[in-house]
Amino acid sequence: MSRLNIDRRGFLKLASATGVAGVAGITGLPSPLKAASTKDQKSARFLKYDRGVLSPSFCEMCFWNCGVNVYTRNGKIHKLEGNRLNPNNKGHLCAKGNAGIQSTYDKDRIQSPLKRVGKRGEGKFKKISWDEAFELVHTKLNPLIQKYGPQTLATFMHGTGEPYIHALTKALGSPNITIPAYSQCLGSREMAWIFTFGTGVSGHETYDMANTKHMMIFGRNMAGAIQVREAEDFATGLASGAKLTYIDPRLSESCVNATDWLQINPGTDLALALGVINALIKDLLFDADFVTKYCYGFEELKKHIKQYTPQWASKKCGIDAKTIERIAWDFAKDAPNVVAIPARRMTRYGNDVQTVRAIAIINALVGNWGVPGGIWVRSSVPVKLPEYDEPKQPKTRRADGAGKGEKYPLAPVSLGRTNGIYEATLTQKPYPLKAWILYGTNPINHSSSGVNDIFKAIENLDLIIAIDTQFSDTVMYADIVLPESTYLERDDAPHVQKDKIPFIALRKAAIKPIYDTRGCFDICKGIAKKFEIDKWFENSPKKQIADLFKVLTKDQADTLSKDGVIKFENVDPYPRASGGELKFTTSTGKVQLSVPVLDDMYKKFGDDFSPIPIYKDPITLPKDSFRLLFGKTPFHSHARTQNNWVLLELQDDTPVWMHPTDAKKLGFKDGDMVNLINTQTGAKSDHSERLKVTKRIKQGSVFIHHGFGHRTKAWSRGYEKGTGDNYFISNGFDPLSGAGAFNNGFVKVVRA
Amino acid sequence: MMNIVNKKLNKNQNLAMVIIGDRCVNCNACYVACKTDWEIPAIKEAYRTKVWEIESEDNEGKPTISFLPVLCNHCENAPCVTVCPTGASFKRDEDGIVLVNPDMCIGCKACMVACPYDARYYDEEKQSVDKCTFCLPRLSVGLDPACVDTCVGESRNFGDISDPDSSVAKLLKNATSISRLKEDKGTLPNVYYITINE
Amino acid sequence: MNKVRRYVQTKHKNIWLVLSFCLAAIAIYGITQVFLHGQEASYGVSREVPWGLLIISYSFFVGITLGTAVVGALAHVFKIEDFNIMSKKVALVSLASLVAAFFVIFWDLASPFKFQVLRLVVYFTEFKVTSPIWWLVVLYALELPLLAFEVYFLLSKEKNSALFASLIGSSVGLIAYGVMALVFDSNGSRPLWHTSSFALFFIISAIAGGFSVVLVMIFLNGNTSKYKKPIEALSKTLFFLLTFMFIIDFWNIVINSYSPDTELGSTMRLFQWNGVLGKNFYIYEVFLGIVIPLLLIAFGKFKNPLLSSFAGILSIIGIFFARFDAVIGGQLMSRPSRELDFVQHSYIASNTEISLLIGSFGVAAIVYFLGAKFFNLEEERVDEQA
Repeated sequence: MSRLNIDRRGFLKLASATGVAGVAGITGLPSPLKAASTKDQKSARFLKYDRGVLSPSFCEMCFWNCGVNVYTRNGKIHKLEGNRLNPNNKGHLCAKGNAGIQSTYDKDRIQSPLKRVGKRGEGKFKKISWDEAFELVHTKLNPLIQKYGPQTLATFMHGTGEPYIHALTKALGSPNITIPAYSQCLGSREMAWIFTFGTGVSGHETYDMANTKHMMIFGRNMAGAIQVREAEDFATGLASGAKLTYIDPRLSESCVNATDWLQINPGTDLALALGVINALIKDLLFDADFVTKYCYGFEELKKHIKQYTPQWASKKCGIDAKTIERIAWDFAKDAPNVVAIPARRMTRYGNDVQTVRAIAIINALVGNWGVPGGIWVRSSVPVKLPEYDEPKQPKTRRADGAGKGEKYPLAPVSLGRTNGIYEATLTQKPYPLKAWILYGTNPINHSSSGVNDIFKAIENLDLIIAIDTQFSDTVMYADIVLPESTYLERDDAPHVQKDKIPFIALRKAAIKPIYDTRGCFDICKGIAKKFEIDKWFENSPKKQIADLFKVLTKDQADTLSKDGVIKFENVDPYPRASGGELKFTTSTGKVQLSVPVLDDMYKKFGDDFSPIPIYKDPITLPKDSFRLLFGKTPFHSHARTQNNWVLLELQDDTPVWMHPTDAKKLGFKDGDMVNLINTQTGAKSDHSERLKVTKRIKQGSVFIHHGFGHRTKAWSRGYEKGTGDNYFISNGFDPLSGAGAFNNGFVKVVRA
Repeated sequence: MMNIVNKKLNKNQNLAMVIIGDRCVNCNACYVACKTDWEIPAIKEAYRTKVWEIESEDNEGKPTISFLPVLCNHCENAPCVTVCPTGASFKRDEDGIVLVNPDMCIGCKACMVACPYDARYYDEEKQSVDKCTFCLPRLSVGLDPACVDTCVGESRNFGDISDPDSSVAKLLKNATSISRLKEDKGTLPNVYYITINE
Repeated sequence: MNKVRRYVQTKHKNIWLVLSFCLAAIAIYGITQVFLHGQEASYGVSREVPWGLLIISYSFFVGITLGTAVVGALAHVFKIEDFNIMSKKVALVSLASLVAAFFVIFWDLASPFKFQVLRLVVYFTEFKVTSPIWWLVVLYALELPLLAFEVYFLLSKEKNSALFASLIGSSVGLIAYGVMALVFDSNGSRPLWHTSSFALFFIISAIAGGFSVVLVMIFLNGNTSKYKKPIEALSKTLFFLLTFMFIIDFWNIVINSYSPDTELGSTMRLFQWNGVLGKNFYIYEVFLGIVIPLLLIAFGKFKNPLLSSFAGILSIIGIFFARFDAVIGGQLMSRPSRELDFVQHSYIASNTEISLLIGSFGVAAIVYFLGAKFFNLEEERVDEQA
């Protein structure tokens, strides 16, 4: 690799040049003038690089754990680099991942345990010791548990420390665990995929975009809502000549090389997908072998889909019928090396499970399961990993309607419905919810808090405990704040990923905690001790790492400690292509074009629960309003990145996108300052934004980027940057999954 | 494919960046990786590379976007080197990298004004104009430039284009189109923008 | 008016010096800002617009140096007696203006408190002959002693030496100012600068500035009736120069309106009436700085000292704005590639920069009045014609 050869003669030259500089030094010039200007001397300072000490880690600037090599010089982290061997990122990091250092060395971080002394939200805290903090948690939480029962506690979690919060909640006896990733992000998508294929897409998506010939993407912004491997594969696929049909009311970053951009009417993706299915079946474009051998319910589907012709779909979604047919033909032509991809944050219009079901059916019909360029099959790590006892999920009914016999019988109790917990806290029904523990979550900014009246819900709480690396709007409301060390400062349990190529990655603390902070495990253990349930906290991350090394062979152990990651490549992600048999873990053991589990519910509850998707029109736009669409920017995750100076340089505002026709109607021009008004609540945004007049957004909709609008006074940089979408999005839900539906939020746009 | 590749001068190497336009996803990882590695001041103005988002319309009036990663072009005819009064800005003979020696800069900013690519910024802490070095320090220990290393879409490629076996020379050879920025300025940039699809 | 002047001159000989110091003291504000917050934070310049008010001021002051030196040289060298008035004072103004130029550029260059400018001396031997700024350093390093010698020879009445110094001084000044224009003009990246009319306008307007200054000086000196012929000659020359400037400006606008979509054409959008520099250009540079002075001079039939000197003041202001428009206008429009639209940047001079500019006028005044006091130039008025 070495591109430069500094031979011995070069070194000598350098040495003599330094001598010249020495002589120049005697002339008594001011110190900056001393360098001599001979050619070698001029370059000398550029010919050394101290890479520093390496410690392995995985990223936590977002949730998806790319492999990171942390380089430390003199005890200070100098640089983060992608770990080439980690399949999640193959050596690359995104802007956020690269900016991890700036978050760790942020002086605005929470520097010690805190106890609230002012009013809630005021931001007045008193520094306390860890012991005082744990004692305080006990003295405040215990009476609530005594009075209302342990179910009065709800916990929210997002991050590597999740298992410990999970365990703590269950050990304390509360069933109210919520992981917002389910009901605020990909719950509906996973449910639909599991209905169809018996397994979810999973956070690390299983689309083989790198080898595909055609991607049909329904609003999954691969480039904007960046996850490194997905973006890599997306770019590689496109660069290798794959076709891209991109379906989105907004022209996002991912459209850059789209073959077709279909600017669909918001909320009508299901119509388009049904139209495509219709064309595939009508024109006999589907993979008959696959369907016969592996699919359940094809005849029902064939009958059902007749009504959904491309002409019908065209009226609903605004894409002309010819295009729909052409896309179906194009797609089928390259089958099975093609993939239809649903959105990731599938909490949109309340018909989300059924929409993804239709997209899953497209995939099933082209028979792309276990085929290069289609959907790969994940494998587990072929090592018997150490197992640890966990407290059982308490039998008490959940407050949010998730679980058997409840309103959302299909929603998993281990993930919960975060939106349901907000509601239950607001109404105090079915039973009083009096305490929250928030781990790395920020309900005020990242939920439909405007409509849900989250501030009122908070008033019903007697105790809010926040465990976080940094302040956020919600942490400002906490009664007790327990600072977590950042991912660069702590050891964590090994990251084991079931994947195309399964692997295990290590995270070791690169530096000692800068402030008086602790890892999530130690925090949970500290609390557990006070409640005398610390028997569940005997396996520290360090011990878990040590245990892992015990079950690995020597070679494996050496690889893991040398590379920070170990891959198990002896797996076959493409069993169908290699002639193997496919297995599906659905109730019928087949790919379910029709879902038998839903048969009964369909009879009981109607169309929304249909075993084969039935189209329903989206909620119509109120007069003089715009539908508020929102999406990710590649430069920010959530509150976590919003006070990071280098990411703020890349984006620190949320311009309001509007179609030129709409702007003309309202008399706005590009660059005007505007405010948003929530049509439902009448609340006006507290921050004016620049209007971006662009054809990139569908008429009748406006768009802002997600993740902004924080009013965290403890932040010196991210405070009051942009408008928060949370005050304007709807609080609907999907009747099947119970996960949120945010895209039915309507706004008026007024001049600032 | 092109003569410009061979139009070279008595240098040992001709280091160049070859950017595959089809692969950039506008993530700006390059921006952050570079700013972090070289401890560039925490102000918006100070950066060595970034990605422009270009919004436009096609013939039918449909909106389009494309991305343009920019950095110092390490020009053969570097105007910044020509105008520097002290020799602080210089071009290395051995590989063509354009550098600024901060010990020699008087901060007249003539180079900043002369650069057609807006590739330079003034670093007050260093008391010097500063710019992309093609990560020469990293090269000197056998690493790729920071932006190339982290490039999510593997859009950026770096190497010696005078060596026909290098990955970058091959990319140029197989490219369907090659362009450089503002070629009308006669600067002969060493950053190539290519497409690899029709 | 005369009364006041006499009062000031007789009773408070030092009042001008005191006022000069007060004016210069305004720079202390800027210097303090730079000391406390650094240059980048205090100046309005940016990555995209690296050259701001201080460079503009520099080019303005060296322009005055050139203009006044040319007036002096025309007098000495070509024995144009009509210009041969107050030659010592004019030479002193030339010198003072150059010192002010050095003062103001000092604050523009990196780390003034560490005298980083000395690197120019250390690395002079790089002989960067391709760099206009390197030549600028060489030539103005020569110019300063030349002007000092000229003043000295004029005072010591060594006529031949003074003549020689003046000749060399104004020639060097002329070349130096040409190089000053070249600093901009050689820049192929900035289409506004990269035309030969740009350099021509720069030099012509600098010389016009010199004539304006001398006209104003004659007026302030009083006893204008003694200088009828010089006033007429100066006014006529100024009239001619201003006309010339007007023609360049006019044709620039016309020519460039034929190619609105070129790089240069896009830059010229700045100079449309509703462009950011439109008001600057039409009101200050052309109307106030050229048209009105032309009318004033013509109206006074080239003889009216009040109107001519007022025209001089206006044209000096106009020339300052012309420098501003040219230097800033060249930088405001840029695009990273030809596929992209132009991005319009902005430049607003900061208070720090403005205070340094005002202060540099003070510095010029201090040098002038100290020199006048030291060399007893106030006497010159009496034996002027001798």
